[in-house]
Amino acid sequence: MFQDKWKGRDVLSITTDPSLGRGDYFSREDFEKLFALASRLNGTTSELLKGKKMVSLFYENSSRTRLSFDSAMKSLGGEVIDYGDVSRSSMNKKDESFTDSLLTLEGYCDVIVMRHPLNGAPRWAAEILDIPVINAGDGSRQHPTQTMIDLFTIYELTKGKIDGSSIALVGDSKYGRTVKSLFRSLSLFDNIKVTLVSPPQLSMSQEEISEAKVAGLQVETAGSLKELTSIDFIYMTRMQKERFEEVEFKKLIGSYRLDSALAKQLGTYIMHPLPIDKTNPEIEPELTFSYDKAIYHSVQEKNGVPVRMALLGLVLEGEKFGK
Amino acid sequence: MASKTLKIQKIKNGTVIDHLPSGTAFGICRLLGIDNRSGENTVALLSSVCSKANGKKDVIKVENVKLSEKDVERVCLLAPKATINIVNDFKVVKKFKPTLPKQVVGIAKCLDPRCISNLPLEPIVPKFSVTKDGLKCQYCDNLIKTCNIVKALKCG
Repeated sequence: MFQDKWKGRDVLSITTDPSLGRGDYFSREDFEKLFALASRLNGTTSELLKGKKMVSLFYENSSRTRLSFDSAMKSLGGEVIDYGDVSRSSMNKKDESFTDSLLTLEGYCDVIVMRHPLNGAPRWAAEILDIPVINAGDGSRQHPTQTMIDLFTIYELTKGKIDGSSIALVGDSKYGRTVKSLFRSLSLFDNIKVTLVSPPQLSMSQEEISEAKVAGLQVETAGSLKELTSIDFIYMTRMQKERFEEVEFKKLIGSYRLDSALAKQLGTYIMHPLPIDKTNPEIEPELTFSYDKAIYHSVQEKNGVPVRMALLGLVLEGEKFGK
Repeated sequence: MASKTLKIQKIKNGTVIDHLPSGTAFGICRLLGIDNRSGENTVALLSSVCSKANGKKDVIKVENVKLSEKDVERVCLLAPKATINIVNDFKVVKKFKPTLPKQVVGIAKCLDPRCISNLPLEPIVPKFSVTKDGLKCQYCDNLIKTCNIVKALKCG
């Protein structure tokens, strides 16, 4: 049993199964602790993590996640060792194994933030390293810190009362890791209704839906955005063109595109983990400026820094952090 | 009147795997590497023979072979109701029904090609939780349904 619930904790995925361990299972209480701290840290700078080092190890491109982790660490007075482009690193050129690279980096830092194209890579890292590993996205599996940001955004907008919210998850529910993580985490709260809106090719597996229902989530499905009514939040995601034939993609994209008229008619908050597809935008670009409940840039994205500040503080310093 | 029952010769030393689901014995033999290419040992495969409990069953008798712990796990995953008899000098000296382990390590391969455990030349040993629906990869969470376990075991 760990004396401190947070110190040294890995952040690997969001599951509803407490038996999986503290890197995978985050309770409602854990989220509430994180959110209260994130609210306090929002907009602050300090030296609370002075002397601590974070390695930023990204095997896949990232801008928002990588930069907001960097910003979070620096806002707390910590240092960032940015590994840069892994494919061009000497470790990669000298054909060093992934495992050996991890063991090497462990000696240089206090925490590793990693993104990897293969599913489960952070779990392997956490298994062999003694320092905390934070998953910044693995393959098509999970993106737990994005979920923390998404939940924090809902938490703030509902003034701490996530219970009873209705949320539509729109787009890619099959491969989209942000959707999967958020979907699972919502079952920790009471009376949440989730409507999954996706084409059949990108729908969530029945196993995942059944698991969430068992955990208490009310789950419905809808064939298009026009079927939605009485929704508090719409969580849009990018549909990945590469999953479709071009003709099929063009036919589908219209059904999952949120335009101004529909958004204003529904009157809901619009969230998006970003980026939005520039060529075939799933949200009409004008909405960003013309609709005050389009909060993906103005609130949700900006929440990346305080949530990651709180998370880094807790895993490095434990529950005493920020007190 | 001549008996219509086929008598199978007893083995002196070895293993009898009984109560296998009908039609699984050939696959299990292949999986355990019981091919008897050397021709030295007696191997008997009985397929779809009458069983009081299950209607039909398969049985494997193999001489001079002792199943390893991993082999027992493999059998158990494919035939959870199997009985294993250890034979010594024509007598059954040990008889047991293996129980499904909670976790299996290093006997199967994750069927998700994008799983980290399939990254070549890394010292990652595949690990699975055994669930009622199949094997769940402990790295990527991919569920290998019961009907696909044999495929995962073959690759393991």
